[in-house]
Amino acid sequence: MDIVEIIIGFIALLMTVRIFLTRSRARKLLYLCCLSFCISALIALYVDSPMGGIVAIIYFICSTLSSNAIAYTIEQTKHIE
Amino acid sequence: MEILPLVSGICCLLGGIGVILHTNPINKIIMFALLEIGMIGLIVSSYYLDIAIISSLCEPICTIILLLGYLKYVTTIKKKKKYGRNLPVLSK
Repeated sequence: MDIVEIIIGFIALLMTVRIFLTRSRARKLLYLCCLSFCISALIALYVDSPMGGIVAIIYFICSTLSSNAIAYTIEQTKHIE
Repeated sequence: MEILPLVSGICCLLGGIGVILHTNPINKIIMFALLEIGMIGLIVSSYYLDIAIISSLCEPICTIILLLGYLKYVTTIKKKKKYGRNLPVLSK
């Protein structure tokens, strides 16, 4: 149990509860991006090997891409309506 | 007690409840992304690292396919309202 892991885990739990409770969709996307960054840091701290670093890098890139795709779709639906 | 399995389990649980409770389709897709985050964390906490790499690569593809389907659904509904009077084929 490291103090760094405890702090990042606390931020991740806070972000999870805020995703579930907020009503605005743009803020939900912001908190989702922050939570994916927290999980990426926890992966790199949990696995103490170079393979853990590779997993963290790939997960970071792909989760950011997914969040940006949802944001682009929200903009397109506003443009259609 | 490690931190990563605890946080990932809570993410999975809240994502599964949120997919049931929310009614807007984009909110459902956001909650589905939260469930996938929890799933990848639980895979990494069991040290299956190669499976975690493949899952991370396949997650945005799944989300993008769902979003394309939602966009096509919305444009179809708008076109139906636009040409509903002129074309009797498209109206019920």
